[in-house]
Amino acid sequence: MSATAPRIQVKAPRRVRLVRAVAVALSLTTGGGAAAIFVQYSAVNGLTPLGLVSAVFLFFSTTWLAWGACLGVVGLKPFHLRRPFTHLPPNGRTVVLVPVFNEDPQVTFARVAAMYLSVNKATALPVHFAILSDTRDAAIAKAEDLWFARLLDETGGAGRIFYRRRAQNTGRKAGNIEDFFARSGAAYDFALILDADSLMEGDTIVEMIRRMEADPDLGLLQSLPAVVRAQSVFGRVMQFAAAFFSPVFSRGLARMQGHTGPFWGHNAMVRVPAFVASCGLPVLSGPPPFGGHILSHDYVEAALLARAGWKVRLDTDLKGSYEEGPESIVEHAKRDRRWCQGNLQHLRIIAAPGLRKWSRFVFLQGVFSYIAPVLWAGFLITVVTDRVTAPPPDYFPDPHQFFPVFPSDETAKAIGLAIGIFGLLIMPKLLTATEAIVTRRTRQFGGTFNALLSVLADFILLSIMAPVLMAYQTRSVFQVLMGRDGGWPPNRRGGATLTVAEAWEASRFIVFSGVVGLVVAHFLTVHIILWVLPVLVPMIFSPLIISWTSRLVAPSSHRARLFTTPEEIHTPPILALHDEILARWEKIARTPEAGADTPGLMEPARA
Amino acid sequence: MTMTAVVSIHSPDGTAAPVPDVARAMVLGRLPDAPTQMPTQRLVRDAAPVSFLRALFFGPLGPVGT
Repeated sequence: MSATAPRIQVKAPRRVRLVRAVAVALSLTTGGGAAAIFVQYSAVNGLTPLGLVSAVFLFFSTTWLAWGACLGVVGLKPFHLRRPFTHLPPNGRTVVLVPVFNEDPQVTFARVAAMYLSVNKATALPVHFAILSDTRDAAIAKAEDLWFARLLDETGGAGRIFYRRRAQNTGRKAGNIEDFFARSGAAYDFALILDADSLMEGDTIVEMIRRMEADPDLGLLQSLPAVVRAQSVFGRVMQFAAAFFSPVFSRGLARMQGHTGPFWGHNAMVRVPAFVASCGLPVLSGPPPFGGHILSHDYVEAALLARAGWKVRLDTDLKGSYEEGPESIVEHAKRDRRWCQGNLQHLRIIAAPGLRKWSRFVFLQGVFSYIAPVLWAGFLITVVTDRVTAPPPDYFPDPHQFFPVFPSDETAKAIGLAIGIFGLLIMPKLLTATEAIVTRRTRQFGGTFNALLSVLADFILLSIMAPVLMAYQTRSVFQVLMGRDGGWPPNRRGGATLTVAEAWEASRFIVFSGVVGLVVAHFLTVHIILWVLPVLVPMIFSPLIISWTSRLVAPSSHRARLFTTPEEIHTPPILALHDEILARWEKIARTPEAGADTPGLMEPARA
Repeated sequence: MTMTAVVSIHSPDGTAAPVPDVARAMVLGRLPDAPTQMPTQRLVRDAAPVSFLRALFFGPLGPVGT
């Protein structure tokens, strides 16, 4: 068993602290500069209190944008590959935890079968798998029972693959894992925590065990999962963005985090004694959304491990780690609602005693990532209101003057400011594209031309979707602030096209807001209408945008090739194995002997 | 061959409890019986819930002991 206490209190290396300081200073300077230019522009007709409020909104929004750009710039230089750490066979007792909650057991358990077979091929070390069910739906629970039997038959994994279902899902996923550790944790050195949609190559699991063994102070090792199997327009845009841009931004994050890295809740390995000793989560006083169980538990667990002196590390060079993403804006918004509540709840614990400064900063970043759209919305609203309520220009400030005094034209400053903000948005993507060309990473995305075309299409589509996503995020923030608990609805996995009517149901508040904004802009401040149209038009057409982007894209179609990712060009072995097992199980489920009650015919879990 | 054994369910605090309903709480395959203690970490003072603005501008009520 590994030691239960780290040997050192890890401190961020000097270089890491320097990079952090420079990035923070640059971001604040950029935000301050933008606000100063805006104040100069607004002061032409006399600076109003609303103008000052707009400047404050702009300061925070631009600082946040600049911080994102800094992460991208810092991450441009590739890491030297770490692997392999050692060729010695791993010997840590390891369990792979697969928490499930109303998932389709046929698909999920086939993933477990694939990973079990893959890891057994990679090592002689007996790696255990535990499916930790919190399923509440009786029919799905019955199906889990039957498909678990199939899983054991398929793999011969009896005694190494386990399944248990809790009577009550207290504490949700964190409570589910805590329950496992409470009864079986002492049997293991390492636990690989997955999501129901996670897949990981056996070689990757073994490599993670090796890395944990190589550094006894390492409490948690996070991999960077690639998003796979997206089928819709929205899903493929996000999948491409995750594959093309995320490695760069994640490297930037990894360079700034020092030993205080992130935990994203899945596709990460923990040192069990460290996790058990450090990560027992309290129930916060008061009702949700700010009280009750900690919703975004992963960030808190990473902070607690770091507080106890353990290293938490993100290794972006680890390949063979996969997850699936939401297939529509609505599914994305549902997940985002939960994350929003979880991140804002972190305000309760941001000043907890003993936390590392970077951990507190990470909590603050999480809060900012959700209030940033609100700040942009606040900026737009205050600017429009300020223009509506501003008095007309006074051309004769001195009643005895003969010639009028025209206010100086500061339009150039406004345009310069807009270009600067646009540049902050697009610069990290352009730099990433340049990096991909220089390092020939574009070959993994169907060649340089295809990759650049995809970057352009990604930018256009995200620009169209951004106001819609901003509206959902803004609503989420206000719902949380008003004390509304979003709960933890089950995920709806796989492709599911939304009709315009369904999209309308989910987005009519956005349409209404867009129409009101357009009417106000048209009748009251028509001269700024061009500035707000890029935001208002997508809002008004949000049902069409949501419906169209949820449409499935045939893998062979031209549009499918537009957002090609490395995993689509070369199917990873673990995905191929999962497909193979799933195809076999689907045949079994369709046999007449299986009958109508066969769970393989069951629809996937619906939200 | 599937190994099926109803063992027990565990209450949220991790203590073993009798099985009231084997259909709803089942364990297939015997998980290692190797309990650990997960001490609850203190993060905030167990006081009345703070408002968002108070948390945002003044922090969540400061240090809270061990």
